[in-house]
Amino acid sequence: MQRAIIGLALDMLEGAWSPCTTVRAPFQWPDHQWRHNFMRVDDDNREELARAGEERRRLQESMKY
Amino acid sequence: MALNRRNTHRSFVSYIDKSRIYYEAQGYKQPYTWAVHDRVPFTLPAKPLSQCKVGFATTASIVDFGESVESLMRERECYFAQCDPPPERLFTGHLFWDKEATHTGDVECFLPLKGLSEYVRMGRVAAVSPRFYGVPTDYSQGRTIKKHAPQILKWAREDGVDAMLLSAL
Repeated sequence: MQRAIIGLALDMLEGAWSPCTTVRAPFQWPDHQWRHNFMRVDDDNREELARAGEERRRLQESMKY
Repeated sequence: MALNRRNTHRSFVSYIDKSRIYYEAQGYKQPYTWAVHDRVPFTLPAKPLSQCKVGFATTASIVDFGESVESLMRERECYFAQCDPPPERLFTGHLFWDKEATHTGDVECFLPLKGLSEYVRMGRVAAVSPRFYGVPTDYSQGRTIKKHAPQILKWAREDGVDAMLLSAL
């Protein structure tokens, strides 16, 4: 699979003739669970995300230079 | 006769919608915005791929920054390293990607230098750049455009690179 994906990238280098050319690799995850997990926001993690955001803003403020 | 494939979902999820909702949940007041370029520079390769030296740029780090958000914010410099031998490990724990669906223990899955070398042996590509290039994940377009991209370009030109593959995590 890795070699095939590099091959697709090389095909792009050879074959793209305009900007924003996109090629979709013909590989899929074995199930659909990733759709739910990726950047998940629900009642189970809403408070945790809010806390993480606060922490990040605090760090950003402290690192300004 | 093969039947047409039938899907229950479109193949991708809307990263734009998901990221807007995600950052909103983190308490950011301004909605997450995307850069949109109406005009994108484009140049056809000057020679056939079989005569091109190809380089790799990655957002993986050569330093282990751990997994904290603070680490991501502290990584601000580009780096380069030798392609031969390929690195046994690079570090991605501080970056934001789907850590439940996959892992990055195999460097070839995001920096396939050995795979690219096979295409060199097959004659599809002339050579692999002697160095690969690391660029930090940065949420500043200004730093990406004015600082990081020119640095990577400078190194690539020093190495005689004709084309670059970007592997972003």
